[in-house]
Amino acid sequence: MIRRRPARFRSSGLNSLLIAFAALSVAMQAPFLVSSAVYAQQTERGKELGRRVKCMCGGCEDSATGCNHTGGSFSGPCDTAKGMQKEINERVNRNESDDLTLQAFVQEYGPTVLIVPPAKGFNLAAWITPVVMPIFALILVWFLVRRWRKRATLATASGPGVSSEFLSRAQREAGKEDHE
Amino acid sequence: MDILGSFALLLALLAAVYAIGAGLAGILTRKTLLTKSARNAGLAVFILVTIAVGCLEYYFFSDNFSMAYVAAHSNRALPFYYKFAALWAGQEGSLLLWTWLLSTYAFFALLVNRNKHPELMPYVGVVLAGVQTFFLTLNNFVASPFAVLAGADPSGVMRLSALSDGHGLNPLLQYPEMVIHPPMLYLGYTGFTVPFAFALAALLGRYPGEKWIHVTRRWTMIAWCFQSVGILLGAHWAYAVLGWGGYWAWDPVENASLLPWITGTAFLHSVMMQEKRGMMKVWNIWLVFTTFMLCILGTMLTRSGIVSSVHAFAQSSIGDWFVGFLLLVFVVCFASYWKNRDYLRSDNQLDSLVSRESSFLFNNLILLAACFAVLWGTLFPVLSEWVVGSKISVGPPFFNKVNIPIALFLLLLTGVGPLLAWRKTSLDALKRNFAWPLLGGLLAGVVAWIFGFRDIYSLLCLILGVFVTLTILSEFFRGARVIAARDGSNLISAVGELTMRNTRRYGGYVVHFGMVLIFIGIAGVPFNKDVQKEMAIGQTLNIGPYSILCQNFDRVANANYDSERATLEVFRNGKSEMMLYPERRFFLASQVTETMVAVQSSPLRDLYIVYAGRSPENGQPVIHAYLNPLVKWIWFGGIVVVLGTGLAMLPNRRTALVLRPVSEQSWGERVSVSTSPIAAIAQRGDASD
Repeated sequence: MIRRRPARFRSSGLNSLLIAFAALSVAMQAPFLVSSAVYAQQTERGKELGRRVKCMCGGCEDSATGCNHTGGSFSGPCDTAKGMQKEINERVNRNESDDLTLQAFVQEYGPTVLIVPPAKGFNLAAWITPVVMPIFALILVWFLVRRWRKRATLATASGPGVSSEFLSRAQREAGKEDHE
Repeated sequence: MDILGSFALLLALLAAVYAIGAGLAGILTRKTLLTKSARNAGLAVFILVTIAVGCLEYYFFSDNFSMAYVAAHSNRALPFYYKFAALWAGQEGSLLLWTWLLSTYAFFALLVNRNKHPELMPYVGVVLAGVQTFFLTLNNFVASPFAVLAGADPSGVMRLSALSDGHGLNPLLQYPEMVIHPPMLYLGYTGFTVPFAFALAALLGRYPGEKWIHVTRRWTMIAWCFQSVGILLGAHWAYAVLGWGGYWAWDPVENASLLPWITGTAFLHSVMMQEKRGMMKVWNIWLVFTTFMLCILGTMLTRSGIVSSVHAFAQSSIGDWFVGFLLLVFVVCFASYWKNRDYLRSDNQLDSLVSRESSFLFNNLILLAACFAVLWGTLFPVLSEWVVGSKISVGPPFFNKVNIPIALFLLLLTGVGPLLAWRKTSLDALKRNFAWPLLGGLLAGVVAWIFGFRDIYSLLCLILGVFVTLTILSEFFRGARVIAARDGSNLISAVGELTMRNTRRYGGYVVHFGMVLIFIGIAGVPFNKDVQKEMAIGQTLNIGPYSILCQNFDRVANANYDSERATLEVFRNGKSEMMLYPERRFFLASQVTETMVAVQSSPLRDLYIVYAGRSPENGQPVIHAYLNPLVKWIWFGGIVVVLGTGLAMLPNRRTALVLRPVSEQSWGERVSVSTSPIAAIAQRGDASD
C-alpha cells in the first residue's frame, strides 16, 4: 500500500512551484513593467507640467493641458497646445527636470508662457504683496484700535457728567429708532 | 426715424450738462427754481436715453442693416429675443445700456426723493448728472451706436449703403442667460452710482447725521443683489456654454465684476457700525467711493482690452477716457473728503476686541484683502509690462492660492460675527454661543474624512459651512423660542414672526446661509473627473458610476444654424437612467461653431457631456464627459442669496400695542424680575441689533 502524502504538502509544493514561476516571470518582465510604470507616471507628470504653461495660440487664455477652443471646429486642444503637450512629453520621457522643461518654454515664448509668475525678481512682488498688505493693514488696525480704546478710557475718566453733545446724540438716536 | 436716436442722445447730453450747471447754480444761489429745473433736466435725461434705446431696438427688429451696429451684430434669421439682446452684443450698445440703466436709477432716485431732503438732493442731482455726462459723451462722440454704413461709389463719392443681411450675433451670446446676464451685471455696476452720489452729496453739503445711509441702504442692497445675480448668471453661462466643465476661470473681466461686489459687501456690513455706534464714517465714505471707482474700472477692463481676456471686446482708445474719468472721480472724492474731514469724526470708540464692532472691522479687512488680491493679480500683467517690459501671465493657480485661505477665513467670520454682542462679549457668552456649532462642524469634518473627503481646503470649507449653518439655526431657534413661549404659538410661526420683526437681521442670516451653500458647491471642485473618448455608435464610455452608450449621431438644421447632435443613453448600475443630447451648432451668419452641453444635474453631482466634434486626426466623433460634484449647490445658494436680500429689504413688522388694565404686571416688569434664559436672550437679542 502506498501512502499518499497529505494534500497540504502536495499543494504547498505546488504553491512553491507557482510562486517560483511567478517570481521568475516578474523578474524577466521587470524591465518592461518598470518602463510602463515610468511612462504612465511621465504622462501624468506631463499633464501637470502642461497645466503650468499657457497655450500660446493667441486665441485663448487656457493652459496647454486645459486648452479647449470654444468656437473652433473641435472643442479640445488646438494644434499649438497639442504641439506644446507633445514637447513636454518628449522632455519628460528624456527625464528632464520640471525646471529645465519650463525654462525651455520660457526661452521659446518668453516669461508670459508661464501660467503663474515665477517667484523671483520683480515678479516676486506678485506673490508677496497680497500677503504683506493685509498684514500691514492688520497692524494698522491694531494700532488704531489701541488708540481708540485709550481715547475711550480717557473720555470715561474725564468725568461722569452728561455733555450736551451726548444729549443731542441720544435724542438723534431716539429719533432714529422711531424712524426704523 | 434714422436720426431720431442720435438726436435724442445728443439732447440727453445737453440735458445732463444743463442739470450740472443749473444744479450748481441752485446750490450756490439757493434758488429753488434753479434746483427744480436741474432736477427736471435730470428726469428728462432718462426719457431721452429711453428714446435712443427704443430707436436702436427698432433698428434691430426691422433688420435695418444700413446701421453699422445692427449689421455687425444681427441677421435676418436671428430669433426675436436674441435681436432684443443684440443691443448689448458690442461696445457701442453696451455703453448705451450702461447709460440707460444709470439714467433709470437716476430718474427713480430723483423722483422718489423729489419732496425730501431739500439740502441733499441738489448735490445728488449734480453728481448723478456728472456721471451721466461722461457716459453720454462716450455715446455721442466716442462709441456711437448710431453710425451708418457708407461706401464709395464708382466716381469715388461716399454714399450711404446697406447690407442685404447682417453678420449675425456672436454664437456665444445666443444662449438664454446671455439675454439677462449683462443687464443684471450692469444693473449692479450702475446701481452703485446712487449710494456714491448720496455719499458724495452728504460730504459736499455736510449733511448732518447718518441720513444718507438710511436713504441709500435699499439702493445699495438692490445694486448688490443685481451684481450677485449677474456674477452667478455669468458663471452659469460659462458652465453651460463654453464646454470646459468649469464656471469660474479668474478671467480679468470676471474679476472686474467681483471687485465692486466685494467692496459693496464690505460696505453693507460696516455701515451698520455707523448706524448703531456712529463709528467708521471715513471708512464707509471711502468704501462707497471705492466701490463706484471699481465699477468704472470694471467697465474699463471689459471695454478697453487693456488686459488679455476672452471677454475683452476690443483694443480701443476708450480706455484713455475711462482712465481720465477715474482720475477725475478720485480727485473730486479726495478733495471733498479733505475739505470736510472734520465732519466725519467718530461718535464712539471700540470698547472691546471681542465685540460685534471688531468682527465687522475684521470682516471688512478680510474683504478688502480679497479685493486687493484679485485686483493685484488682474492688473499685475500690465504693471509688469510697464516696469520690466515683459508681459507676465497671472492664471487661476495664483488666484486660487491667494484667495482660498482668505475666503475660508471670511466664512469663519460669517459664523462668528453675528454671535458677538455690540460693545463687548463675555467669555461665558462666547462658550455658550459657539460650543455646539463648533462641535457640529468638527463632527461633520470627521464624518467627511471617514467617507474619503481628503482635500484639506474642501474639508475646512465643509467644517466651516456646517459651523456657520448651525450658528444661523441657533440664532433663529433662540429668538423663535422666546416668541413661542410668550405668545403660545408654535416654533415655525414664531420663526416667521421673528423674521418679519427684524427683516434686516434675519434676511442677512438667510444671505449668509446662501453663501454657505455656494461655498460648499465650490468645495466640490477638487473631486471633479473627466474622460474624453472617440466614440462610434454602440461604444461605451465609463465615468464614475455612469456608463454612457453612444446610440446615434444625427443632424438638425434651421435658418440660424446647422447642428450635429449625439444621442447618448446613460446607465447606472446596469439600469438605463436618462438620454442626453449634446450638440455642436454651426452658425451660418457668423460661420462659427459652438457647443451645446448636455447636463444632468443632481444635488450630489452633475454629469456634464460635451460633444467635442470630430477628431481632427481620424474624423471620429469625440465625447468629453465630466463628473462635477456639488455644482447645483452654487446655483441654489444664489437663489437663497437673492431671497435673503429681498427679505432684508422688506420693512419690519411693527408690534401692535394693546391696552391692558393697570393692575396687570407689564412684560418689562416680568422680564426684569425673571432670571430665565428666555428673558436673558430677549434682552440680548434687543441689545445685539
